[in-house]
Amino acid sequence: MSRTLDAVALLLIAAGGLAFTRGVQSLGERKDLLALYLLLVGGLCLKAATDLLRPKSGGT
Amino acid sequence: MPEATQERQRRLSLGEFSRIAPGLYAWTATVVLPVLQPGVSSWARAMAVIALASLVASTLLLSTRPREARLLGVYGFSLACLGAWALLGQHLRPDQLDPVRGALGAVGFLLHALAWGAPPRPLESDVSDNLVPGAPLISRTKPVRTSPLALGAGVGVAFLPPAFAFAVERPETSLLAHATALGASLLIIAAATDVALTLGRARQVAPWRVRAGRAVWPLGGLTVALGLGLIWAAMR
Repeated sequence: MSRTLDAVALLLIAAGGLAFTRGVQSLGERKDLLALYLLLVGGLCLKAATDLLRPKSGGT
Repeated sequence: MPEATQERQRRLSLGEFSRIAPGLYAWTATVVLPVLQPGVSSWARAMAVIALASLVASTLLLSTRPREARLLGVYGFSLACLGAWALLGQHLRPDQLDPVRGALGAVGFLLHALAWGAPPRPLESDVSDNLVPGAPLISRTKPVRTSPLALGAGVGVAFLPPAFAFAVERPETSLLAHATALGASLLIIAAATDVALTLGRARQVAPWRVRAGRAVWPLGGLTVALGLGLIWAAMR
């Protein structure tokens, strides 16, 4: 299961990168709301990826 | 000659070359080609030769007189390059500049500055790579094979947003797109570094339930955002 979570973290980073890329593209296509949405999704993907792996102080 | 001395001299030669190589490249890309144009004054050409001579002299002096070598390599070379450009006169016009060559030359000058940023290694210095004296320190965690892959993939993905930012043609948003893309790239590289560093350690520290529990909030937010996006797409 841990290996699956590692793979999910890597996929989330890739998804975050793609969401950011599409967000930047949307900025150029005058779709500002979509761009903001995709940048938010990208940020959440990266946050989830790091939280899946990062050991917290005092935890376990 | 003892093997250690040979190794030390080999490293010194390599270090000297790596110190002047960026400057040599920048000089070739941004000084030589403009001064070789027909009609350029001989003073500009002389300054270009002085710049090269400063660079070569700095290499020769590096092991024996590092202070003078630094003065020649940094100040002598840069001032002579500036002099050559200043003396180009009407031959240095924006419409005659090749942007790609100019950008590559700028990278060369940046690397030249970085190369001269480190102090020269004295001849009698130890050839060992250990910064801390004594036995090599043992790492606390064993790196796993997937860590470099994760970091490499992250760096690769981080190139995408800046590359696509160049496709934004609207003048009012192109700068914002570049700034956003740069920020996104930094975030991706930071996240990939975090993941790469903790890949081997995470399994030893926490079971998967704890790890999944930690990511509940961002994963929940992501799910909500994706759900709202689906509803939005369906309504349009």
